[in-house]
Amino acid sequence: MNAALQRTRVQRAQPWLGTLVEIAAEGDDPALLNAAIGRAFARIAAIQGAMSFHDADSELSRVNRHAARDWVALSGDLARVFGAAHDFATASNGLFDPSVAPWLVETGHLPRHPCMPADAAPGWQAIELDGDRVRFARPLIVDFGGIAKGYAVDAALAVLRDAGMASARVNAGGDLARFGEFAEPVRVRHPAQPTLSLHLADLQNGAVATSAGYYQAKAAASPLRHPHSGSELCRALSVSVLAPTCMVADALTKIVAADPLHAPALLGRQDAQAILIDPSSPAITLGDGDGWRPLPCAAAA
Amino acid sequence: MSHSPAWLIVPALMAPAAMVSPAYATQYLTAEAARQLMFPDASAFVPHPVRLTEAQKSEVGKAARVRMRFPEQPVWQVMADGKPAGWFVLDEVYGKHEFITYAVALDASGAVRGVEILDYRETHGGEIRNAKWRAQFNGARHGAALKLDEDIQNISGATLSCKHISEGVRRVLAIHAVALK
Repeated sequence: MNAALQRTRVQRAQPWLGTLVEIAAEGDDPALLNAAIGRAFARIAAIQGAMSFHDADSELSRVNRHAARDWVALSGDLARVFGAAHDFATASNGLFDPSVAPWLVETGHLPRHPCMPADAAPGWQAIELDGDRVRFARPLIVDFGGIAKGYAVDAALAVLRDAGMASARVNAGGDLARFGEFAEPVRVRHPAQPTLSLHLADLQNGAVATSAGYYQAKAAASPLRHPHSGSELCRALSVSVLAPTCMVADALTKIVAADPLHAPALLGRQDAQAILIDPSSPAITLGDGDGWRPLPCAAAA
Repeated sequence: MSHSPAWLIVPALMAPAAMVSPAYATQYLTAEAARQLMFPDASAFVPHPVRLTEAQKSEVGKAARVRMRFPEQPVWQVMADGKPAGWFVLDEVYGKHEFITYAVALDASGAVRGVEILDYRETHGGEIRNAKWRAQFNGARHGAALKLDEDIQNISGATLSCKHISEGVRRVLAIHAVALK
């Protein structure tokens, strides 16, 4: 008898991480499915509680207030994200930079909290990590907007894997990770026409993250900044990265958007692929450790 | 050397071909399923529809900093062990792109216990206007015709914010304060 025929599929969505988080899972018992999905949402809620920049009482906000004065102890989640962010900043020579928050506070993309160091300026090199504690060599404001969502998606998916689900997907506003017995198509919205989507790849176990400027108020500046200059990155280009984990995919989208030319080396090291969609043309570009090339199908047009 | 990752199947040949339906819509839960999930110990859900007076409407608008569109709100009082255990409130919000119905669970003290999305629909008007743009992806040029009503299970790059839901929940809390306490 085919076990797959008896499987139930549950799909739920809740507002977290500033977006809609959708969790879907397949398993044999609907009650266990719902319980596992509930735990996965709770995991996301806890990570949001620790890493929210908007919440002045979050663990991250406490770090931003105190780490320039003394070592601050970190929870396991925050320590892992600090470590990964530092690794990506180092590997990308600062193209990924969690300390550009002062610019985003200035433009209103992030809130200004009382007690936030007023003299903070970008400079990830001032982040000093020592196991599960951190300090800043000078005042910094750190924001994990470029990586925490991916981390939360991976953590929620791990809950579903540990619960023995046959397949599962977590999608936080386009930062998506899944596992399953079969590959499924993943799609990305077209930057010029967000209601339409393109088939990116077939994904069995892995993640995809997309950075693009659509759905942002025309008047507002894009929150994506070039870390070396502070200049606004081209918001029209859609950058998707396929990677083994969503945190890696999430961080790499920022690096690829900031410097597509030098990204392939890092993509190769992370076992990742990037796909660029230019809204003004149907051409699509694929990048990986071997460099950039147009996708064959688009070239054949 | 090849970097094609073992965990990923990327059939690049089919990548840009399939254009999918513009109508993203998902039904996650029925109201009944949601209230059962949010209050598993409930013995009864007693209908308690709220109809605000003009004065209450403006009070809610002021407290929640969002306009009350309608004076009515579907609400159920949750009973467990013969005692009031909280409230189950249905609400809907819409923005420029989305239309969302959702449920808010409040505990007996009026604190939010959970939010579940019931129904999500994107309501764009641009597709027809952009028929010409879309036509460039049509037919033989990219090897596949436009596909409608296809499965949209795995979609990346959906960056709709949950701002409207946050506002809606704030309004539900204000309604609780003026009409359910």
